[in-house]
Amino acid sequence: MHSQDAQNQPATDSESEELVEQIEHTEETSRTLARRLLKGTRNGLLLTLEPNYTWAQVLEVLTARLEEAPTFFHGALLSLDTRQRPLQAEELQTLQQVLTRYEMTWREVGGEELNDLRLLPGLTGRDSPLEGNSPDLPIRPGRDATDTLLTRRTVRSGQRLRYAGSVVVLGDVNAGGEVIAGGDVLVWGMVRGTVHAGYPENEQAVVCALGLAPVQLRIGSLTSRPPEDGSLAPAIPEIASVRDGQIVVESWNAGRGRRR
Amino acid sequence: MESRVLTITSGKGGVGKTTAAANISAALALLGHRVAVVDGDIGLRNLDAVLGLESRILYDLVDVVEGRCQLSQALIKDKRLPDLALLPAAQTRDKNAVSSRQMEQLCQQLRDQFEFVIIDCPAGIEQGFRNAIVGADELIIVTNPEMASVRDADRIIGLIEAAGKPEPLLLINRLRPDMIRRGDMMDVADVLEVLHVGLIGLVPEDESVIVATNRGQPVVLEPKSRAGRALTNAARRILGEEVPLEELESQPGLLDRLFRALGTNFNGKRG
Repeated sequence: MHSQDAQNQPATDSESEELVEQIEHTEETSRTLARRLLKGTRNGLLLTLEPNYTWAQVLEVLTARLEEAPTFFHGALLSLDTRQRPLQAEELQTLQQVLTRYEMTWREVGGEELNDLRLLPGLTGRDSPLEGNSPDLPIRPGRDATDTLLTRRTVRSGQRLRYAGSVVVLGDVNAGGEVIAGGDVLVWGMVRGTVHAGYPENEQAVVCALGLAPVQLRIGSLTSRPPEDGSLAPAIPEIASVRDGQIVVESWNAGRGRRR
Repeated sequence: MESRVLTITSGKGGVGKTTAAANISAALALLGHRVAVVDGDIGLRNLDAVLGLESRILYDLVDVVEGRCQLSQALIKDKRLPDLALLPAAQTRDKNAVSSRQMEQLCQQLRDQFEFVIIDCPAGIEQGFRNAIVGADELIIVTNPEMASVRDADRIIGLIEAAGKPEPLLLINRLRPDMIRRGDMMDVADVLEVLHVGLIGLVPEDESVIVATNRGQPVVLEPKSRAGRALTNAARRILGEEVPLEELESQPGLLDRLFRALGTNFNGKRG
């Protein structure tokens, strides 16, 4: 019994009745089922796993929807709501097969992440630490590099924010926290944790922050650590970028900003 | 009156959770409130010893959840403080002996009898931590002004956030004004700059805590102890009283810096 269960709404009587109805009117079932299990959100599809439906039914709903608009869903993100029923390993395999056809990626969401999903388009896989660390989820490099995720929070120790586009954090990135972005990372606060811009190998990306004192800074495939002489980084706005194959950190001068 | 379940946690061990739990509970009882303090540290109990009630344990928390006794049989009344009762942890079991659901039910039972239920959370982020926070309405994070404990506190705040609990308040323990003055210790503003949460109390390092703990006597019962006064003030703030934060001895300008830190850190929430 895990802690997030407390937040789940148990199926109400009216919902179970609805289920009975669906089984009776088979004609109507597939469309109702699709509406129930598969919803469009601002950042892709949300598939809900419910204990009352078999995996075959769920998969059928998904496949039917994807076939309706194959180009539209190409490369898109599928979110899986596994709060009511976990995904089994063999189910994952069949899911992967379907998703590979459309070059789609997936991630698991539950509880708080579901709220994020509605509020924050494209938040791909913040760890749900109470449930153990989720595996690293694939992100789509480059494709959405023009998208920007704005998040108003402190990224705390043990939390990880991954996004295919650029990320703006209104808050700090604390030691032990991670931000990984396909594009630029802008932190309106202090960076004390790890930031990786231009994941996996976009060296045009930059990291800027009101104060840069990261444990580690990565841009593309390059990594830099702060000087080990113990000197404290000045808490002034700085920008890190790649120049001549090296990460260079400079103070941010208004009016002389780098233009790309 | 609505009863309040308050969990005292920290992530890191040895920062003073148990001392804080024992003394805040004792202070609330002194101030006339009916308080149950629960030792959530199954397998490594010591809240009973800190309160000097070790010899009176007959049944423990695991006995209650496993139905071997009634809740009232396991609760130990403190003779010095008639409004304080301790629910001790089992020493022969481990954290997995109790489930989150059982802990939630236990909190519910305690709510019926007490105004405050204070839970002393074990160190770590595993089952024991989850059990300690599952029934909590409010949380207090104890931290010391040093990097390791602040980082653990940060991790814990993230976990509390993820569990859908309200934002915790911070109790900074073992502050040493002399070290802060020399620049050898993080000061209050430094800690708040990282954690961005509200303060419930500032407790100075104080030998009287060690002496009192060894005697099994809550330090809040000792009027001369600075730490005791600070912990009593934390209890008053829990009750909603507006008690100004202690000006730590011989540290000019601390409060100024503090308010500046609060002003900048809470700008998102002031409205």
